[in-house]
Amino acid sequence: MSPWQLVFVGGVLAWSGGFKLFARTAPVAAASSALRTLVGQRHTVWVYRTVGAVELAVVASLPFTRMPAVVLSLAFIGYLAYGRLKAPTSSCGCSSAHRSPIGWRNFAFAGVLLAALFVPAVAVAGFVLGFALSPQFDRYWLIPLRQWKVRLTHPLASAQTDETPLHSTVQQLQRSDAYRKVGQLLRSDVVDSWDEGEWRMLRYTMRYQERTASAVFAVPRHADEPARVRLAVVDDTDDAILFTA
Amino acid sequence: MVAVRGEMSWFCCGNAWGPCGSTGHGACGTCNSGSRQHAWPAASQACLDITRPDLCGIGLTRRSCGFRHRTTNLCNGAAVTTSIADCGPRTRSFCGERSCCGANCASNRLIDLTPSAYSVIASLSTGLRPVSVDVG
Amino acid sequence: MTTKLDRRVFLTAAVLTGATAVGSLDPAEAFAAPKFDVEPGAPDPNFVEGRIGTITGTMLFVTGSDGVFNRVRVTGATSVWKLTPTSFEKVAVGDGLYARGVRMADGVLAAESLWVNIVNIEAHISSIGRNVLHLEHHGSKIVAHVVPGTTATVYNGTPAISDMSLLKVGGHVKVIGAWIPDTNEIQIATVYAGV
Repeated sequence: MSPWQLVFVGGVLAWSGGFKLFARTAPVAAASSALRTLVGQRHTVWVYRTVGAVELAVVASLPFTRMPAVVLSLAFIGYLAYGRLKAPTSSCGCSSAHRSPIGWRNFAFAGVLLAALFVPAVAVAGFVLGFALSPQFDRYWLIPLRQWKVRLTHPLASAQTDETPLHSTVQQLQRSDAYRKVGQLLRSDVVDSWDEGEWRMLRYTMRYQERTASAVFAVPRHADEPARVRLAVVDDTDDAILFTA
Repeated sequence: MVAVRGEMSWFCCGNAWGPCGSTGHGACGTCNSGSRQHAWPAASQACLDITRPDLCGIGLTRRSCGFRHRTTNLCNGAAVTTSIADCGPRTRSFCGERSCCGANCASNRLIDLTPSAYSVIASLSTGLRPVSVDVG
Repeated sequence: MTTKLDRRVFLTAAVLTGATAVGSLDPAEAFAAPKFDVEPGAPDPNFVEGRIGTITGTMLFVTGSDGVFNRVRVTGATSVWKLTPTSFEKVAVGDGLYARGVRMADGVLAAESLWVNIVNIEAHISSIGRNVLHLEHHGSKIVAHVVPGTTATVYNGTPAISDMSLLKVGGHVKVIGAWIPDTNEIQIATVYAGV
């Protein structure tokens, strides 16, 4: 094998094996990997560590023979296929705790690793391909690239409207004295809401003395003034106004 | 009783419908959306390695599955007692995040309740509330 | 017959005209300590989770994820959430739901709150398209659609706004949304994000 092949394949396996054996987050990676489905939750971590030790042993054998690395690469592809079929939401868990379902990039990376054992040029290209195909490196190139695209195209610009979101009104209500007076008596989420001039009305259901009533709050629609929030509690049966604030 | 302030949210578990379908029964193997349970960031050492509340300046005592916490919603004073059934929330991902109801504020994700427990003290549509949790 | 509009007019007048209370409600008295009604860790009898199999009149027949069958009755006092507060007519067979109410003697849950298809997702944004967020949640991919006029964003606990321009690819978010049944897609109600 050429020095490029030794460095690339040895480097990948040493990284991967070292992570599995020594990383603090290795049990986390193991738990989210397809290994959990393959060997069961009880055995996941020690099997994961053992795989790491095997990878390091294969690194040590690389200067003498490529066969253990070839077998390991084929086994890796088999593992990915198993994970894709039997545990589609599992992560690879290969060399980081990054959670990402097994996909074409994992298969492509495994293919590059296998090919690099036979073709020196693939090993040379592998340094770039490995970087591009490993999800744990996305933060260095793919995510900045996508952030740059968003800055250029503003894809969420049309989400902005002049209308005050209902959630904003609810937030203001919950900061008001009126809400604190009856908040614990409310039995429902917002039953109805409507706008009346500068006010947004929110109706909730509440229970008192075995009867149901409507708690109606008037909340300033365009201003953040929770002190102005008004409340009326109206009996649902006879429309008697029970309480105002 | 020692209390810690933080943000509360809710999570589904127990192979329910929608994106919850693959969630399973949580780290303790007992979690169900319809039961009065919660996820705690210090449910085990492995859990702490994931959630890392220490990175947000919160020191939590490790508690195991089944331990009870009482959570009080600072917006309305309503409280519910639940038992640990899962690991979470991932506090470190939201360090410094803050929720307030008037002068009652709380920072950092501290506890996730099941929908059944959360809906006792808040509306599910709110998603995030400041709370106080009695930690023993 | 009182229409929904009549009711709104009456309630608006009650709260805005400074009407005098004639009833006997005393919130302070009603703030009694809540009853310790359900053992921690135990299933809550006043709560139902599952998918709607049949709708007959105002009764929902719901199959829980644990296989338990429940009947849920909806009334005019029940709040119905499906992306926004909405009416019972918007609820459909196949929807998922969480319901809280009071369990009656005949086993029916008299619903006080109904949250239909509601999801609460911790995720990170893997990419952003035109009015859509692509999310990674527990290793699976979710397509989250923005609904202009409805979707709101809360940045670090500040009041909700419709401006989503501060969301970043790679950022962690919490999303309250409405699941589109039998897909990996949701509509976004609220995004909680740090800045």
